[in-house]
Amino acid sequence: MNDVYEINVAKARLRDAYNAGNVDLLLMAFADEFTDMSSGKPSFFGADAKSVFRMRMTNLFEQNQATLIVTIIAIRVFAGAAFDYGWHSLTLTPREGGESTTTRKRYFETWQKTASGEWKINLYIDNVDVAPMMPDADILIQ
Amino acid sequence: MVIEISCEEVWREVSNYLDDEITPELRARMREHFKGCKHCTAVLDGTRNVVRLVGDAKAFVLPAGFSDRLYQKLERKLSKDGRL
Repeated sequence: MNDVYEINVAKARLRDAYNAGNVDLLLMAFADEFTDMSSGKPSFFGADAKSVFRMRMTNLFEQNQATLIVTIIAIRVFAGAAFDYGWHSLTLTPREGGESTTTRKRYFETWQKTASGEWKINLYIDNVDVAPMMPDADILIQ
Repeated sequence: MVIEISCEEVWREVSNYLDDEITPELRARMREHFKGCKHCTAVLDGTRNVVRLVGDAKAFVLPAGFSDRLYQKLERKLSKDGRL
C-alpha cells in the first residue's frame, strides 16, 4: 500500500468511528500528542489535546447520533509527514429527540508516520464552510 | 469498510470509471465519494457528456483538411516548445 492509500484508510476508519460513536476508535486516528484547533473551541496542545478531545467526543456521542461525511480534496505526502484538506459534513441527531443539524466545515490536518508505519493526525484545524458564490462586486472591479 | 478517496484521485480516474476500466474496489470508493461531493459529480457528468458528444459522429462534422491542419499546428507548437 502506498502512503496516500494508507491515509485514505485511516480517514475511513476515523469516519466509521464517528458514525459508530466509538471514541476509542476515533482517538486511534490521532497522535498521542497533537494540536487541536477546532473552530469555535479553544486550542489545545500535546497530551492535553487528546484528553480534552476524548471528553468532548464522549459527551457528543452520548447526546447525539453522529453521521460524518468526509470529502478529501487532496493528500500530499512528504517522506514521514503529510497533509490533507477537504470538507467534513457532520449531522447530529439528538438521542432524546429533536431536529438533526448538519454542519459543513473545511478542514486541514497534518499527519505523521509513526515508527510502526501508521499514519496519525498531529494537527487539526477547521472552520465553517461558506456556500460557493461570486466575489463581492468591489473585488471584481479591481 | 469503503476506503476514502480524494477528489484529485477521482479526477485522475474519472475517465477509467466511465469506461469501466477500474477495479471493483476503486469503483466502490469513487461511487461513495460522488455521493458526498458535488464538485466531482459535476466533473463526472461533464466528462460523461464530452464522451457522448465525441462518440456521436453527428455532433462534429469536421471541414475537409481539418486533421492535416491540426497535425501541422501541433507539430509547429511542439517544435517551438522543444518537445519534438
